[in-house]
Amino acid sequence: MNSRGWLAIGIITIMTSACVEQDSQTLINTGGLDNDRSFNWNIPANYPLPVVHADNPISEEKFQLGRHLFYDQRLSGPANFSCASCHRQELAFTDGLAQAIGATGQKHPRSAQALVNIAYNASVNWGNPTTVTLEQQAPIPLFNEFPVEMGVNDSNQAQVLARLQAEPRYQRMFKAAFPNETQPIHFANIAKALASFERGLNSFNSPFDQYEAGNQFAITQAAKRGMNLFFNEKTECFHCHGGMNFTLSSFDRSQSFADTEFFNNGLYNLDGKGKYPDGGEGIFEITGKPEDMGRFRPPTLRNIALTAPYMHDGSIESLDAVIRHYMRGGRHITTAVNAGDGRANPYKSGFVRPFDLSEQEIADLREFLESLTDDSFINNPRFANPWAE
Amino acid sequence: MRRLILSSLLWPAGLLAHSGETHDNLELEPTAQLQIGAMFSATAYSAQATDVHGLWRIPGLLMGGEALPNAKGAQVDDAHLWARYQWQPNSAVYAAVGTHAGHTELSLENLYLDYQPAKFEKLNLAAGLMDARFSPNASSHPSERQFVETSLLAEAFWGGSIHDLGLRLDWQAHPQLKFGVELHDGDFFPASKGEGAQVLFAQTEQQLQELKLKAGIWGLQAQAVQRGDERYQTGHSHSSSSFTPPDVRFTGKSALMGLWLTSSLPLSETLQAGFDYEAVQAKAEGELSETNYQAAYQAKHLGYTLTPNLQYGAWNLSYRFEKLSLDNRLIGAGAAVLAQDANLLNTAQPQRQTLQLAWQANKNLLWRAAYTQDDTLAQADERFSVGLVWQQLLHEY
Repeated sequence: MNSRGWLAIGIITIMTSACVEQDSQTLINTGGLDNDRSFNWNIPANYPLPVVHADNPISEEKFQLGRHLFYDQRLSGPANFSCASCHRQELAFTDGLAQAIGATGQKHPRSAQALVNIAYNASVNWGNPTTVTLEQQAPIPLFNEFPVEMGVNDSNQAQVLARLQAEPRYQRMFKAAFPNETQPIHFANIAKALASFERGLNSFNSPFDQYEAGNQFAITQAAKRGMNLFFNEKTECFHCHGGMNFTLSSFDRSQSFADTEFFNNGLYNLDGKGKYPDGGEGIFEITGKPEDMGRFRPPTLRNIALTAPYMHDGSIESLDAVIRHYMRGGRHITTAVNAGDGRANPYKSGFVRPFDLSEQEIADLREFLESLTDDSFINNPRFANPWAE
Repeated sequence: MRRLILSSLLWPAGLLAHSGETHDNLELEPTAQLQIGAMFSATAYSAQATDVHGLWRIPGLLMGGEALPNAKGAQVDDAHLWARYQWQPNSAVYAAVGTHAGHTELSLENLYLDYQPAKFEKLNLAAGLMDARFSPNASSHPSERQFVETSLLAEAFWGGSIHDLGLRLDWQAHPQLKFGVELHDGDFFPASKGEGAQVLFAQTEQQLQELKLKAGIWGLQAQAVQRGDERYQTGHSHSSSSFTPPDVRFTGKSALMGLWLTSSLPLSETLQAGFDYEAVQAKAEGELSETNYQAAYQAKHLGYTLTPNLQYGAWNLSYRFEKLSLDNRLIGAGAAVLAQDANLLNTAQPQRQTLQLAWQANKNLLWRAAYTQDDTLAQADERFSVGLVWQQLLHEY
């Protein structure tokens, strides 16, 4: 036996093996994106923060000012209406109506959106890809004329500001929120404060979240079955309502690009060529492209059980009915106005396809959606009406 | 003289010969003009190494290529028909068609020209669709290697097996020393098609009294653009209920270096001891991206495999120990999300141990039974396997 040869092999093996071991690890450096966790975001540490625009940094002072303005009827033209009139906390900041009604009684073509985690919205409106920040959005309901929402206009806006200036609390709060301005009470700052309050309306404490955090008993067995159905290629739900906010239209600081996603889900087909009702045509109203007919932003499903009726026009009354809508692959309206077979809409998303579920599975899926209700969000005093305190 | 399959399974035959495939157990006549052969491996497994989603994704590692786990139950590991036609003493063409586990279609595995210039006999040139030859683990089929399962090194660092369009130039500088270069199109992990991969290697063969030793060192660099894990992305269907992992892409460079050796020593007339070893360092630097996320990515991965074995007559008892160490760094806004989506969060050192008994029933048929302790995933797994290998020279003149 050649002992020197074996010795040489042994030495080589030992030496190289020692060199080819190290600790396994994955180091993550997000570049200091979590620096402003000092603000009370109501967002768990393991979730990325929403984007905050440089010209409106978040602060507790602005959040509290925005909260006061949100609940203040003096901010409307007729002084009879506030943001909270259409965005009620107990309903996850929607109003329970199919279509919102403004300060002058005018009906809005859209259903009031829930204000849940909207800080993450990649685009803000139901059907407008150009409105992408809360600062852009806040003035729209204040000054909107078609339809009138808060009823502020050229003739009464000075009066509205005078009302706010007359409020001692606002004198103090505006100065605290905008310390570098000598005359801070104006509409640009009102929009910034409202955006800051809305940016803080975050909900991550539903039974589903608790289940995800490791509490196996936080949701029922039926909800677990429903969850499996939801994240299943059969139902396709998660393709449009995936991610931490249960919507594809979500943008946070960890992302480099924002998806301003819009989908046609087969609600209408008035002319057999994909037509949606006037005033409710989705981003087609902005782009004019035929393929954009009926395309709307998928909303978050967090707290969805509280926000009936559903869809951009509130035309589906319940979660059960929504599930059955998708099971049919769209809606076929045979009577009354808006008749047409939405299932055959040529612009319908490929994810909206017929599938079969048993009654038990429908109940399971509904129970999963109900497990997304965050009671601590709708009862959080931080988000409640400060004028009632 | 009868050469057994066992000997070829234990030895990376052909490494020091001029380029050619590893069929020397079949007593190939070097002057034959036409040779046609076949090989086949089939195995039954007691279990499959997969995670809760039914996938084999080793935490801490970007995987790809053909690194797929065996399926539970019986399967054909591979079946190949090959031919070598030599129309001049220094020119030959080699072709092979075959199929692998998980594939139903027959595919062209090799088609290349082998040429030895008359004036430069120490040089050998191969060009075409060919197997990489820089390491015993670079490219192999279950029917021509010692263990039915591909080595963990190969699975982790080059997707199991490399056969690609390319060019190889060997220089037999000395009877015991060879240098070579391989230039590949890049249609294999960790490269992406068309981006290219290049290999340099040196190999030696020594005999120290009765001890036979073969060893080599090699370096490979590869480029990738938007490389995804195609194992679980292609064929994705929305009508399927299977889980599809996030489509995280890598763009950047990979640099691999390796050292290997194989050795054998007769202990008596019927007993022979052997030892195989390979160590690899794989570095990657580039960018990870998903639809909305991106982050800079750096990786330093290490791995080795040790295989002592004893051969007694027609029996061979072998043990294989394989281990990986995985160090990853992600920098940028999307780092946390991408680390999770790419399955890179890991502090474990994946390892696998296999104990195998093989029996050479006759010249063409070998049986093998193995026990594997698999700790490559978060949950440990063990499995047994029993299989056979058949190799046959069908025609020669």
